[in-house]
Amino acid sequence: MSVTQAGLLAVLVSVGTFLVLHRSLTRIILGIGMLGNAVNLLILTVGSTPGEVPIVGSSGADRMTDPVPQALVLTAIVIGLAVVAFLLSMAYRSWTIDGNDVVEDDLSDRRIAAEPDVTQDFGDET
Amino acid sequence: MTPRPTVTPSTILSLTVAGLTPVLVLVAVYITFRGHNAPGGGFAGGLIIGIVLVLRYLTDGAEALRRLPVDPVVLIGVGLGAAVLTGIAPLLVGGSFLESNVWKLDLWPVGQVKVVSSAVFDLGVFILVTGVVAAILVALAEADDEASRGETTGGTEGPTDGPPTRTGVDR
Amino acid sequence: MNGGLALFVGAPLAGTAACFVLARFQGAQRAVALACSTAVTIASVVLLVHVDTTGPVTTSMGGWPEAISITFVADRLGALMLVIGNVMMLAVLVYAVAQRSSDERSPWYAPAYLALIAGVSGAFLAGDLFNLFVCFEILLMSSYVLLTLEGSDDQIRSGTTYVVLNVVESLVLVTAVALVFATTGTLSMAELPDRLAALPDGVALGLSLLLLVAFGLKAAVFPLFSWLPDSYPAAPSPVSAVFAGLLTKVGVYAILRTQTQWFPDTNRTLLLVIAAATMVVGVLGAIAQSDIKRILSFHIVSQIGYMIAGIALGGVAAVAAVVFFVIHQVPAKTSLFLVDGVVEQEQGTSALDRLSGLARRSGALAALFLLPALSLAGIPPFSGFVAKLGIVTVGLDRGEWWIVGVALVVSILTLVSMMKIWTGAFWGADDPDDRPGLLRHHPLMSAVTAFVVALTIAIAVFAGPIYGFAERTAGDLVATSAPATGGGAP
Repeated sequence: MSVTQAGLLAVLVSVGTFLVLHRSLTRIILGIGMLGNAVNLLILTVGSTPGEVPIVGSSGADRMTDPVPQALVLTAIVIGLAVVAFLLSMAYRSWTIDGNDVVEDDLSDRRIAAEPDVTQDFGDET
Repeated sequence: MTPRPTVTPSTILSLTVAGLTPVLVLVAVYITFRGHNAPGGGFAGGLIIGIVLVLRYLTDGAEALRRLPVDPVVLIGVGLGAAVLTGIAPLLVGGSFLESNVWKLDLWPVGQVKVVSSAVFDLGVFILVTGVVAAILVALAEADDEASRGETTGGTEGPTDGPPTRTGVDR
Repeated sequence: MNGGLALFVGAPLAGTAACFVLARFQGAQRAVALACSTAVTIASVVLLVHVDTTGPVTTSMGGWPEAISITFVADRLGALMLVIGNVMMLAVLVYAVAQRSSDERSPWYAPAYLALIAGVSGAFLAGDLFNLFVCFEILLMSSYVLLTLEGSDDQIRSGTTYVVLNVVESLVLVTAVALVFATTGTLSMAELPDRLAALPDGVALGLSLLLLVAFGLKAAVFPLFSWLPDSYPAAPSPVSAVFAGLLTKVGVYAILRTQTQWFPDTNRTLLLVIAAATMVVGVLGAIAQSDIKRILSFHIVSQIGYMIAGIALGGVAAVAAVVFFVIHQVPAKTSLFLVDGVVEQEQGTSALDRLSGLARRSGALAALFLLPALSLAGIPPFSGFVAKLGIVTVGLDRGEWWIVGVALVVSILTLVSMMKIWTGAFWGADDPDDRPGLLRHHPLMSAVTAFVVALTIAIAVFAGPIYGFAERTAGDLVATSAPATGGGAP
């Protein structure tokens, strides 16, 4: 593991976490993109030792890097793309509905929290 | 909906895209088939076609999508079907799921050609990704269409129920 | 069975593809979905019998040797979950087709539902950790689509929370996968127990906590449950029924595997505390709510606590109790949501203050609600009693008195909140105003509901043999865990 990779990981994770904690869905999406890249980088960083391209015929098997982490990253990238595409469409939908993309609170929770006495729901039945 | 200016795409962009389209399609197909033994593959190839579609959408507007010969949703189905069936087919001849087979054919003018069954899988992914991008664009174009129609007729039959409240969101 | 297991994922995916091609033909889509789901369900029952009599089945993909290929493995637990999951998904599909709600008429419904079947089946059969992650993603993506299919304001609002939290959960899971691979050099579930046991304690603890966070969010355990009661009620009833019955149990399944097979004897106290908090917070939340769907959603959280408690206690007896609890829980929970779907179809709402006297209108419907509700609360003749008895007995044997106390108190509170639905919606005077009349719903809807309720009763009637099977399953799980199992048979 090189210092550059570790430093890049630190930056990506902290920036991603910061963005995910926002209320605006667009920023959350950017944050998720960052975190996704961070995790992919993590797989490559911790999962394999540096080596040559793991393609049969291009170099000797003993000098190749481990291909498994690369396969994992490839899959994770494709999944990440699908997730981001879905989130973007949700943000767009949210924008067409009420003109912003703010992630709102659970309305029903707020209402019940504001209720003075929940036991009254049992009413005179009991 | 904030009134959107009717965009006239720049001539430079239109001409560039028109010229690039065939090249990009060729590159996409090349990358798809190259993917068997080298970096590349159906996913990357399909995304390049997707970029072509996005560029056409930017220059020609929704018109570009109406000219599509097939329903993108059907493309998704065909692509996914091809990929899954490549997986299932070997089971029928006693292999295992997703097992790949290689045929070496002697085509007279070309010489020996290696045909690999997993190429069908890649081709399926290629069609699938193309279909997904096209479907997303069609959905966006429809939403735009409805929104602008809602504006001109003053109706609220857009994708929204009731008048949306805009809070100065810039697009 | 060479390669056969892959068909549990391949066949529904092929069905998904067919549904996309047939996007314009609703009837054909429904036929494909029903045919696919039925076929997979029958195949899973056959698989369960096969696995129970002759032992686990393994399939490697692509003709590669097992050590380096993607594998599907069906052991007793996996095959059992596969059967429960597919039976429930088939029942709910029939119910949804009968209901013809607005989302079911969307051309995206059938493909998304089939992809959900593929994801759930794959998750239960996955033979390595990364494969599990991929199947989780298939399952999650289709659940996102199903949850927000109508695209209404409410669905988008609560769907956003659901999607974002689950995406973050996926990222945690991938991180765990990366670190597990880095420390052990393998992701195969067969090899991991030994390799993980060889790790230093601190590293193993870190990995187990990371996996616990990832799967705990999916299972909605105590600090990570807040997305559930918000998002599930926003979905149409059939969708929330299958989510409520199944999706959290996929998380429980993953926790069960990781905690009993990979990290035996770690985090016991932590898990017990989480379990108690999950039970208490869930049931208190349920009591506070005033909408049938939301009450039931909080119950999901509360019931998850019992399963976590069983996992925390560990050993064959406790794990057997957990397995039986899952067998009981899935149909009971699903049937309650299906009843709520009928109520909503009839009355147009599931808010308790707008419902009254349903029992006078339809005694059958009231009975269909009451039976699984009592079962869930753990009243003696029903399956929930047997399930809770199993966990409580183990707790007493181990001398964990306080968790037993919490479990019993929560049981009573569950009954209280069920009575709240009962008095609010079913009891009382019939509403005299001109609400739409009864039995507007398709008869198949109540037939399916009755079938699922009958299933919960059948579980109580055949509790003996089913419990025997659960004990065999638990024996497998605990036996294959690392040899250092201190918390073996009590």
